[in-house]
Amino acid sequence: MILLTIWGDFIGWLERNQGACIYKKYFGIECPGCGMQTSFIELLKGNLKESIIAYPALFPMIFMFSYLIAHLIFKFEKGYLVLKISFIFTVVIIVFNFIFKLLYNGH
Amino acid sequence: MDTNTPPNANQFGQQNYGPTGNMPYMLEPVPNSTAVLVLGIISIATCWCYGIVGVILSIIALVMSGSARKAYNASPGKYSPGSYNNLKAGRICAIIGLSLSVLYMIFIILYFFALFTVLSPGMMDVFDNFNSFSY
Repeated sequence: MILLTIWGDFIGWLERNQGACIYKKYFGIECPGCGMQTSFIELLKGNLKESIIAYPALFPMIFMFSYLIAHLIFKFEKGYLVLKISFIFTVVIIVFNFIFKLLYNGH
Repeated sequence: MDTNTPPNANQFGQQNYGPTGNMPYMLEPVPNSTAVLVLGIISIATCWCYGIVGVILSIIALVMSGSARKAYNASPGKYSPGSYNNLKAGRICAIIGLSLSVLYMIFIILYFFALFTVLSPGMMDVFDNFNSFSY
């Protein structure tokens, strides 16, 4: 119970201290990383759907980094192939997300 | 012993396997292969800082992978194939990250040129806001 309270306090602290993107604040243009903090907080709360809506590339990115660490420790035989494919997948998601945000949410 | 056996084979023509069973024995990893892979992958995760960090990281990764490829091509039998695969994957990731970061930087520069030429009176307000933050 105490752990849960600490966890909730931590998430609330993260929410209160979100750094706003300088681009978005002053120039009205979103950068390719905008939404990552919101998405991360939603993921910590356990809301996978909201997290993917806020920033779709966060989940594959976390998978890629954890797989990278695991690959460096355990040296999987086809690990390089998985990393390459997931990297290209993440890049495609980031680029499409950025273009979509520019076209439909640029204010 | 015939001449067709690979360089690290024993008298029965089999590969020598190390204590882990998986990798041929006595092969060292290609220098910097791990660093190239890590840098190449991190270069895309820093897309939120103007693309500059991505450019720096991927250029470092490309330079390191260039020298590592030279070392591998000089003596391919000396290094383990797994680490060479890591090196190739890291190189591809670095190339993709570099091209995307450069494209993003070009886009940002073009956008600011457009903003300066079209909205130059409005930009002054932005600079006023910036000055209010320097205490």
